[in-house]
Amino acid sequence: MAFTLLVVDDSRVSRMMIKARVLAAHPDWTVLEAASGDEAVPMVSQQVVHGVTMDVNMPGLNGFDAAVLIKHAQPHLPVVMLTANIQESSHARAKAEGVCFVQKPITDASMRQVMAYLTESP
Amino acid sequence: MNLDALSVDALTEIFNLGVGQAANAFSQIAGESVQLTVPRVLMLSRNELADHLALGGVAGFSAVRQRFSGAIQSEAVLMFPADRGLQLVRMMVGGEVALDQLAEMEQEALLEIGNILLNSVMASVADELQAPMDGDLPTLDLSLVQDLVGGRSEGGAPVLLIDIQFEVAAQEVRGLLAFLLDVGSWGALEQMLSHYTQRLA
Repeated sequence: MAFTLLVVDDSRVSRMMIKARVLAAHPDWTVLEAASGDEAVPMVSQQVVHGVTMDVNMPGLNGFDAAVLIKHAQPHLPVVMLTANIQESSHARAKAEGVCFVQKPITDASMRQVMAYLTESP
Repeated sequence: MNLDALSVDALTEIFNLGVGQAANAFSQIAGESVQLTVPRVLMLSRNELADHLALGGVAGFSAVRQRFSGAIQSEAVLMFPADRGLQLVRMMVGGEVALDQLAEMEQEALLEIGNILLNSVMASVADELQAPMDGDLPTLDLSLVQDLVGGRSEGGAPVLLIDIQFEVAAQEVRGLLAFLLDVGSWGALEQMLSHYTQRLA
């Protein structure tokens, strides 16, 4: 299936590491990149996107707020928050907003979790 | 202002749980085992802090700094030898990037490593203290740590330092994770530590 993933992270290195692992597993996927939440939110309305990975700590609109805006616009779009900072308070908020958490660092194992969530979401 | 022995023990234990998280994250980044020491909790004046860090041999270190705010305010710092930055970055990205490109990305890769390690510790500390904390964006400070400490100087007020040394033995990279807790937060901290020890009792 043609799948377009939007990778949102202010770190170019992180975007690069995510993209490399995604394309290694799914060479047919298209990977779009956004360097901030502000950049990402309009992108999901302007083009077809099937899934989003979202960093949390970013300049401007943070990942959580961007995810909320995206989920309000497209409730069925799977969004995975990628962060090293997973506090219980964040879990509660993620559950309420219908997004999933995967813990950084970006590794083959963490990206397998991300891709499983994205492809298994209804 | 002094923390009693039980509070210091509690703080050590709380940060030790965070160290476990950071060790796990760090070993995933490095792709090999990383040794982290048990945290030390120290109450120091600003001058003593500068001496302490200098004695640790960190004069030639770079630092990733990140402020956390919430019920307690803290500044978290990852310090590593300035000449080992590129090596840390190479550990993270492996062979995926050409060396010239790697040098170009060094600063943002170091920020990301700092972000992951400092947040690993602070997320665990926030959960143990039941006190959510928000992190600012990390910044990279390539100046000497001495300057960093001097830059924070605000009169003679003491600081609470929790420091953890790390070593990636195979790469011969050593460094320090340091957490400076703001004096103004001590009342709140004492109360949280008291609740923490009561929950354990």
